[in-house]
Amino acid sequence: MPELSPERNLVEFELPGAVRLFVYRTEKFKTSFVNIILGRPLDERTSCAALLPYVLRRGTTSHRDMSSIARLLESLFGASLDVDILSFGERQMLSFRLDLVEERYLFMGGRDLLAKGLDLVRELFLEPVLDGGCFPNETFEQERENLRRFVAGMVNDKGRYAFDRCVSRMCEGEPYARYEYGALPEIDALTSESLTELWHDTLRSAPIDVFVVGSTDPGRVRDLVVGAFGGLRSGEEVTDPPPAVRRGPGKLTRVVERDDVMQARLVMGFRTRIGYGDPLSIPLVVWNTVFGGGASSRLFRHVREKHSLAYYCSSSVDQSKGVAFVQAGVDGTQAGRVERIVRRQMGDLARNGPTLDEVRAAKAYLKAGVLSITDSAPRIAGFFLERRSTGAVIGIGELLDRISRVRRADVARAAATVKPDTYYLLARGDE
Amino acid sequence: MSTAATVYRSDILGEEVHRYVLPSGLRVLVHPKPGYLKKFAVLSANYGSVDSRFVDPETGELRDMPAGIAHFLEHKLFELKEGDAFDAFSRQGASGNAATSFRTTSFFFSCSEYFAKNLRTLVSLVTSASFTAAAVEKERGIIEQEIRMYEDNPDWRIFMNLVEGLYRDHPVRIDITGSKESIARIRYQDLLSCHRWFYHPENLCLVVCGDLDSERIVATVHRALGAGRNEGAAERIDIDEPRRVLRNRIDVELPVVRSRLLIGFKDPWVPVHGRDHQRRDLVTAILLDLMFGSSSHTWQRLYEEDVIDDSFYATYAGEEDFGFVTLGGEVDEPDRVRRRLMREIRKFGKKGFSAEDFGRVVHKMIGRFVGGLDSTEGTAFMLLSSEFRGVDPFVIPTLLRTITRDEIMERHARLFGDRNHCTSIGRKGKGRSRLV
Repeated sequence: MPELSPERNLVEFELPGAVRLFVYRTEKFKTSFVNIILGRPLDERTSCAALLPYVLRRGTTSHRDMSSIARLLESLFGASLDVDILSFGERQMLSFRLDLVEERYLFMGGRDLLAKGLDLVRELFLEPVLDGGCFPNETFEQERENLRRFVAGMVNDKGRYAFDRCVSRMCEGEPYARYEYGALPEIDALTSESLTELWHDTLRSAPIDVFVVGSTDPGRVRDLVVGAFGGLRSGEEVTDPPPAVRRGPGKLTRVVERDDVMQARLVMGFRTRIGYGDPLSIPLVVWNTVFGGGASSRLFRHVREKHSLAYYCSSSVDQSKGVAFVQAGVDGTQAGRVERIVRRQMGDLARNGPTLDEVRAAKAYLKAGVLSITDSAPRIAGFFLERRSTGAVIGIGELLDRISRVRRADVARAAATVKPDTYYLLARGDE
Repeated sequence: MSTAATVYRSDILGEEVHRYVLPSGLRVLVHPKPGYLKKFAVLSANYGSVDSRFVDPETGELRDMPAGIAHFLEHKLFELKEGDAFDAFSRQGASGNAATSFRTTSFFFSCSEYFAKNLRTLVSLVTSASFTAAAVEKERGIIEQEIRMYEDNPDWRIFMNLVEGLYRDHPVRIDITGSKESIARIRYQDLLSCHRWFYHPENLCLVVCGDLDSERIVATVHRALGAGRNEGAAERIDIDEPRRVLRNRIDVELPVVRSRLLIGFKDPWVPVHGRDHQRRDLVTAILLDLMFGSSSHTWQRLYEEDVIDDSFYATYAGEEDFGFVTLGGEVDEPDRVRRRLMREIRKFGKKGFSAEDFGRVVHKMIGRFVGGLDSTEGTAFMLLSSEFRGVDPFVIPTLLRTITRDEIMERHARLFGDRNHCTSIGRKGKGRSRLV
């Protein structure tokens, strides 16, 4: 099978100023992919940091507004530059993503697209439009209002909203409870000065990871990245913070909130205390697949197919924090029944483990997912970023090997670590 | 068995697609992707939510089916004689799913191993309706929860309100999932009939992407499907849809934090077929990009004046016998924004655009087409859509370069010239949700 050890295509560079560069060289794709990630803790400045990329993309000294940037990207044959705010464990990540067509596929020429794209990101970072040393007040106010609207508008996506509410109650007081886009009172308190200060601090001290997937020679990519970001740092050491604290569960907390919804949303939160390095890490992933990971999982079969109680009912695990969740959209009057079915299946998996067929199917499903990583540039970058962030530096081949070695008893052991913490229900007043 | 393949090829992109027509009438498109570990297959019926009214081939009478029947049938086809297709895919290392749109119902899976086995499962689930009457009853509860989920989505609600305002008779105005009441009226026999009338091989198309051998795929499908049967296919009827919109305005209160505005323009350029269809859609995409794309001066001005934000979009939905432009997003004052957008549309009609803007947008669209080929799923659905239109998929970059400025302005006049539009507003109001 081709590319089973894609690590061989990966070249890693430690650049001056603690910029880490990962170049994955491949000719498989018609686009090259660049992702630049500034990492920082989820903390009281999270709202401010969430605003930063949106103010930076408003214009630079040579491309003074957004449509001028858009025109430049279009002239690079439909290159796209997307900014986003992500979170991983208790880290907030400011993401800048470039997609560029590989020059050899262009019908009418096109030169140095990668260099021009990287140069635009450099301008965004280092040469934003300023007014007296600060971000212009008008730009700042407008983007703050946009962020405020976005965060306030989350309540209109009921599934997502219920999930966030459950997380914030379950992890109250822990950084994990913070939403990566920030919170309203904090957003309201921001000033153009505080944002400008955060911009300086971020450029000085935030770890910068750059991922490039494409056909360009890694040495050439390094030169371009050094050219763009080499002047950024004085060379001081940047260290990653320690991993998230993994608190055990206390007594089960129940939260019911009322809202004008057509469908009630049930979110059940659990603590597993299993992180990436744990020996039960892979068995827990297999457990999640058997329990609620897909269309042949226990939850799908019992809650949806057998009892017709939901359209969706699924589970997820987050090993960056040692937590797990079950989410379902249900009729409010039936939430108790759904919860009982979930708990019964959970108990059964911990006591008796999955069947041999279930383990086989889960492994095949996971294997297919891992193999397909190499078919997508963003997934390649995501895979190596995840491995980087957790310190669990294993390759795709080893990951496949570990999945194949999981036995029924391992899954049962992993299942037994999953302890109820917070059950949350969003429902109408009369339900 | 020999079924000669038509080959669609792009030398510069280094891509080709092999097209076969099996003796049963099934069309098969194979897109080899050397070096890819994932394999993707989609089997799609040319049958969607708009096909609710047709001539019954057995009695010759006009039939009206309850809203949501195509989507209900999609759910039930996952039931196989030997169990559930979800389980079968999962045992064979694949994940399968399905989706119903206005025009098509598509069943698909992706896997890295056991491709032939999974392909046989796919063919079997789509072509044999093995579900029982009891299972139909059980499915109602599941679909009802799916409908409730969409009812909580304000953007979907004002979109469907808009389509209901644009069309008087065309079944595009019917919600794909139907309603609680309409799905209660769907009977077991109706589902079996619709399967018999719409899922015959000539009305299906299979698209496969991956590091695979075309001839072997064709042989596998042929063995699984056999001769098939095409007699007794339902006859689509022409819909006498008036040119004018049904309503100019639909204004409802929704429990949202911010109001929603959508303006829809009903396209008079219908029906359209084949290359004309492809061209119409590309010309429209360029036009909308020139008018409201983020590189346009209009967009920049509206953004800076806080008339629009990132939620704003302008898009075109075009099928053979219907088409409409949708533009809008989240706004504070729907009526003010509406007037402003209308003014910008008129202004564009007078002022036009520069040659430079035009060239850049065309470059962008070519680049996006090329980049899109990196996604197996995305490519598979693009190939399905070009097959249902009857065009060579790789003609798109060539077509893009032949589109003229006059065509763009004519398109503007035709779409926006006679004020044939409907406004759908979801006003922030009753039952307002709490803030975070």
